[in-house]
Amino acid sequence: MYRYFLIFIGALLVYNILLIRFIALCPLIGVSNQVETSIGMAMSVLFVMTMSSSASWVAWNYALKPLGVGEFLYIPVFILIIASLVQFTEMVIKKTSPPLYRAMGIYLPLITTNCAVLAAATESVKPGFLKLNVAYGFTFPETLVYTIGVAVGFGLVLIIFACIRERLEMSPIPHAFKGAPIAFMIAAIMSLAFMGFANLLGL
Amino acid sequence: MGYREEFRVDWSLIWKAAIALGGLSLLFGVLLAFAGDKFKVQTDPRLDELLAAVLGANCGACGYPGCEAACNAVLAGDANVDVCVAGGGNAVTSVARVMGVETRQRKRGVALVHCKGGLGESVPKARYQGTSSCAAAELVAGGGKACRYGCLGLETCRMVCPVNAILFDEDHRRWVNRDRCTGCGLCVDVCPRGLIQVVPRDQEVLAVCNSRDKGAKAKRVCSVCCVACKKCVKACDFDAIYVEANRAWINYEKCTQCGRCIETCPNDVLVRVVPSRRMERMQKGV
Ligand code: SF4
Ligand code: SF4
Repeated sequence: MYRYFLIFIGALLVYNILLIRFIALCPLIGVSNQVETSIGMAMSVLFVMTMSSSASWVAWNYALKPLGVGEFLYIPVFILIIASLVQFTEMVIKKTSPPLYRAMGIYLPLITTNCAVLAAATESVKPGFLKLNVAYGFTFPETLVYTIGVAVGFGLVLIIFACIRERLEMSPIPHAFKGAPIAFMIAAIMSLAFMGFANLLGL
Repeated sequence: MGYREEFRVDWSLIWKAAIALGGLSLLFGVLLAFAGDKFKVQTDPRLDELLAAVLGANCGACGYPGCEAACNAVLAGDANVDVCVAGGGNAVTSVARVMGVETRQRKRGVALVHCKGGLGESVPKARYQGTSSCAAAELVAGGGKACRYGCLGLETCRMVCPVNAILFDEDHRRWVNRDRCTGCGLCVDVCPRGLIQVVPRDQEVLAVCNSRDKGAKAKRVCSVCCVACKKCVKACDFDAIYVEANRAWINYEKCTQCGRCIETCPNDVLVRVVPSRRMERMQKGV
């Protein structure tokens, strides 16, 4: 149990995908103008990430690893999986829940190219940074916990960031800093704050 | 010898890779095909036609997230048939045909800065040093120019233009790039001297001065200003020019663009804008 807890905290805070590892900065800047859209994005990422990491785990453990081709084939295969899953999810949502589709619709295709999803899938089969004595890959439940941790960390930062940016809209910022420049500065400051989590619980 | 040994190709790996990638692609392809059939949503058949009619670049210039959203907006009646900005006249006519309505080409104006006086023509009375903003300069004793009505040549209008259509030369004179200008009129209100106006795009004869000073006084501060001599008014056969508040104005409705007035103006206030090739194409309706 403690191990799952460590994996979760590690993915969520200590190795936060946005602020510590600087992956997926495009949605961080792109869809953080309003809290509402960022919540939509966070939800879609949580959903797609969990699905794709599970599928990738299955593909890795039952196809790529036994055949011995995983080492050089995992990126194309995972991309294939992610793209198909996103397509599939889009179809299902479009059919079953049009309002949700309208809310999430534009974010779903974007997620296909979201590097965070690929990173989460890769890390769950070859965890390289968590100092957890993992010989080669997580077990399936560990993958789930890990991915949810990454996705929640992503959503957490995205939503905090959106809240800050909504307030920035109303503050007197010099013209040259408006928009992306000030956003990057805020991201840097938040990143410094998150570095305070380093070595938390010995991670 | 060891060299050959090391670089031998392991064919079995290639076969395995092909099997793994091919098999997974096939699996997902089949799955998606089934899912596509099972979860098919009935859409308006016109949507596909519309999608074919617009440019299909998903460029977002229309303000909608992608072409599909734009087309849906047209179907729902939220957008005009001329949504597709990037597609030009072709897209408008095709969309209008699909929707079964008359084409309505938007008539766009173009911004004009009513001042020709750069530093060479219009004498400065002081050297303004400060933020490069006309609004600020105007507050400091009316800026650095002796002419109270002319262009201050700083950044105020340039900064608001979303398409970078306003340019300036070192001579403190503003130009509007007519190809780029979309006639949105954002620059009109920010000019502290009210120099900018959106004029009809096909109007080529223009009066480019804003001075309300009387003849001699105006002449003292600028060599290209309107002195209200009314020579152009006399030259015009169509009653299209009138002088009001000591400057010449053109009535664009009456003006036939013959250009007689241009020759008579002693101060070069009246000009003819040479249309660019792109404008010509646009006027022909592409
Ligand atoms: S402007 Fe035209 S091409 Fe661009 S997104 Fe809109 S509909 Fe599509
Ligand atoms: S702000 Fe608008 S009207 Fe003014 S120059 Fe730019 S595009 Fe033209």
